[in-house]
Amino acid sequence: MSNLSRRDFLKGLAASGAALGAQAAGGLLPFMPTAAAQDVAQVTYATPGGVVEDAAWEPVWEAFNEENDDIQANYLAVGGGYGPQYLQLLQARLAAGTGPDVFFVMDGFMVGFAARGVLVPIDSFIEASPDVDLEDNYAGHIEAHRWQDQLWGLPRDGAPYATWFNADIYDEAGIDYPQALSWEEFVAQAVELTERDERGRATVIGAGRGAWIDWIWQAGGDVLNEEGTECLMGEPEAIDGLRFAQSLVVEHQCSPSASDLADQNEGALFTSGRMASFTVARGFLGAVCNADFRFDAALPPAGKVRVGRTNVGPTVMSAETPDKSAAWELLKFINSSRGQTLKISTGYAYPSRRSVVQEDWYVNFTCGQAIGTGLNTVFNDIMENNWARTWPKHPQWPEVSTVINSELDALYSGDKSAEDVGTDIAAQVNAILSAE
Amino acid sequence: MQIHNVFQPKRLSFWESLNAWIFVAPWILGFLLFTGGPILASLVISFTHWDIVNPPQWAGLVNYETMFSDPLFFQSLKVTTIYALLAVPLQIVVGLFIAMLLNTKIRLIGIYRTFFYLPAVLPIVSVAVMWRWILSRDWGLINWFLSLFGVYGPGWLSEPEWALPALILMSLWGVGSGMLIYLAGLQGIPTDLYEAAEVDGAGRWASFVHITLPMISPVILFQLVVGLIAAFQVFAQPFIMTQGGPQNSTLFYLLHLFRNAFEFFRMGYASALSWVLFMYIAVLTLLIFRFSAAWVFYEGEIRNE
Amino acid sequence: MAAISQRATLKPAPAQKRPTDWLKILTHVILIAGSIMFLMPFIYVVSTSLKTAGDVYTFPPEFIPEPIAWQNYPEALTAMPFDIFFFNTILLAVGRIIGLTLSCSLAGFAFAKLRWRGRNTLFFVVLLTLMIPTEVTLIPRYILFAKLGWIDSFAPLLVPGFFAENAFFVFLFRQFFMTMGQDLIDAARIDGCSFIGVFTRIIAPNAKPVFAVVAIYIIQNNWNSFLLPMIYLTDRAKYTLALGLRLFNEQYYSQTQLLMAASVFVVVPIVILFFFMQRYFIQGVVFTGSKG
Repeated sequence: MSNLSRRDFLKGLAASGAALGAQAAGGLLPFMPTAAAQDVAQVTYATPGGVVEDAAWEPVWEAFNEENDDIQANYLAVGGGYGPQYLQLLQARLAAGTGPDVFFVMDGFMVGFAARGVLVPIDSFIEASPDVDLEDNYAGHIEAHRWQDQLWGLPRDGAPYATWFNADIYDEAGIDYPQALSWEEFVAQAVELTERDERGRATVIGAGRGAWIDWIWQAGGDVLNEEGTECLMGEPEAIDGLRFAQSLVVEHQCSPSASDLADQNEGALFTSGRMASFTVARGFLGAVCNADFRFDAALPPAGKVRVGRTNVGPTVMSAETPDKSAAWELLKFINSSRGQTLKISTGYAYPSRRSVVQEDWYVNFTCGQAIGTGLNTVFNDIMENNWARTWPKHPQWPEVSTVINSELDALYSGDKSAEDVGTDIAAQVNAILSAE
Repeated sequence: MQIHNVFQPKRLSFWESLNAWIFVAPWILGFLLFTGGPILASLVISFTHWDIVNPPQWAGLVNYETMFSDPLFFQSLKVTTIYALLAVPLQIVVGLFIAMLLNTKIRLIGIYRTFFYLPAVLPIVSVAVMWRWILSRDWGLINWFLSLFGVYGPGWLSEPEWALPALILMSLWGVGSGMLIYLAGLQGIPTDLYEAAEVDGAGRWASFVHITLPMISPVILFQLVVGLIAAFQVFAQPFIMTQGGPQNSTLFYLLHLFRNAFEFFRMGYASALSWVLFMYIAVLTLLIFRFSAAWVFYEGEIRNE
Repeated sequence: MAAISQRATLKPAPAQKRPTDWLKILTHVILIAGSIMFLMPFIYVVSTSLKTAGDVYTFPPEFIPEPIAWQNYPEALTAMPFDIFFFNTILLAVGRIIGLTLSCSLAGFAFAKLRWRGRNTLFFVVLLTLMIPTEVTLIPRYILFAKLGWIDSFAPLLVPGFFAENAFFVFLFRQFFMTMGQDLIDAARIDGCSFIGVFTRIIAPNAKPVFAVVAIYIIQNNWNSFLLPMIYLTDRAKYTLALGLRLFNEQYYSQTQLLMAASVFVVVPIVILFFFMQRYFIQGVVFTGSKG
């Protein structure tokens, strides 16, 4: 018996050896780098990607390659989301001079890349291209790419944040669906919606924590000053925002505690029906479509100022790309109405252009147990009214945000007061800003 | 050519030396071609400011000096040292205990071995959600178990005092990998040693202490050194489970290093961090080897220095 | 210790005494309890692989899916050319097993059993290469391979394997070889056996367990590691299984249930391989102690 299995194993080995030979003979020799065609300009676009995103891009490349005989678009995607590997891959390639020509870079990193001279400012390309129709993009999405009076990229999509709510939980509690609530209304609703079992465990959490920066903006504060030379987190307005954020978790206990979030992130808490509402981008629709409750999106709460946040998908051009005009063609196509329409055909992502958002198929898009059209209109309202800002722009933003996140742990656990957190953040961030 | 003489170990034979150099030649070549260059490069880079994409700028010892004013450097060193000091001995003891059990001749032993090995091949990303549930304060398995004894368990991943112990606990699920080495080591122990001990009236514990432990001490040394090196380079677990939090209580050294290298664009500083780590581990390893003579037993030991 | 092994040869070996039953039962009890604990991650993965997209997030997780989504398996396995990934992974594993076991075991032999000047120093240098984190050598290494024109080929993953790139294995081989009796080697040398002959005829045949362990490790690493393959390989036709799995993991919309189904598909072959390979490192020939 054991001899037989060993012989079988060897047979299998021989078979795979033969298969290797066959494959090598077939020209697919995995030891050799793949040769690229020489007669057309090769342009590579890089993004984290993955099964779903790859499929979304497929028609974009097809259309682009069809329309451009002299340019070949290639796609480099490695999966894994915005995890560490994409940053490692990107920078290893840029360091070796084999970087992608056009690529996606995470919001908070774009300025860091621009400041290091990795990117090409695209203002001159835009001026030379009347067909780019920049105005069609929501102003906030374009502004997200401006740093030191130059544009460093164009959005491939946008991601304004709005409140998603579980209509079943609201109906059961007999509470009106949330819409542009004040801070007080927001807290009152969330407290009423929160339910606990006999052991004090939250079975329904009233509302998500909201992004910390939204509360600070809504209180009239900000993280950095205009010039990016000073941290304003120790100012009274910012501290008001921090205090409100803390009260949701510590005082009112209507937002997820640290231990709730150690179990599941806010998206999973909401999708599994354990949280009545939270704030996230339209891209979340893909996940919530599978949920077994009724839902919609609504205008988020507001404090002194009605403001929220939008992310963007910055699409940027590498400074070392040999054929800049070919790279620009690809970048332009990715941002164009046609490019975005082709890519967003699944209806999940949110376009950066109003012409796409206002197309009938998009306005009427629905899925799962969505109960209304809020999920199609509210994001447009936010962008048209300029109610969304983008993350502060500073080359060292990733480091600043790391410092802040660690301090926020102490804020939300109640270990430190909002005043202490604000002043401590300001001190640490100022040290970072002055070191540069 | 000198004629070798195996009975005079103090005189080195040219032929034997030549053979030895030929046998290690692939490693030396590989070091010269592939490994050594990048390592040397990282040392040079540690004396520069380098943002990865632009040419490095000479910085002298600035990166090394910066460490002294970087509280997160000390925090990450502390976290990682505590982890290494607790996790490595635990992994060695648990791994050896399991290997001893799995080295017995009982029914279904092949299946048991497979079960214990299994978690070692599951990527941590796939099982992160399960761990979140097991370690949950309100809904978790561990706290449910503790509650049977009237103990109110902590938020394992959400409280600064408990997050590191939680990661240490999690690491024990990976001992299946090290278990293989123990099993292989246990095979090398001649059974007649045990039989002789049994005839002499030695109990199982005595046999374990006087035969098994000395005989596999080279393997334990290996596990200790390799475990220590691995412990100081832990990255995926904290990155996926806690992102260094809460309040930097699981800020492992490599997490801090990674952020500086790839997120803060300070590859020069990250390289300096890695060379300090290198020296730290190297000194610990040297100490372990120095003191290993007292407890590591090589049956066929040869010494030439 | 020498005294014990001496005695072992003097006394006649008694017949193997059967362990008492209660000890056997206790061992079973501990092993079953441990098995449940160690099996849980895998059971969790299998259970999640059979859930619908909407049930994946239920917390605390339910281990028995309702309904059972068998379609996840065909869906996951057809989402990508897993046959090609599988083939590539095997190819890399076989190449690395050949290269690494040959080069590392020879080096381990020289460090363990030969007498030469600089042995311990060089061995420590080998160990030192393990202590520099990949994070800081990653980019210089990538630049090196880019200069060689090896990017997007298997060469950066395969070729260094033939040069004993893995210090961990050199160390492992050395430790095992060091436990082997010197007298047999000396005897073979006196009989005119060359050093390579000592290695191939005495050391290697008696060290099957460690060779099997190293092979398992290489396979395991090759199945799980993704950082270096991801950095070096661009073309999807050259992807490995670990790289393929990552493609289910996305920023906005991860299809967790498909990731889990594909993970089961990826893990089961190693588990089966392990099950059948274990006899190679459990039934090693007892080498030391039985002299004369």
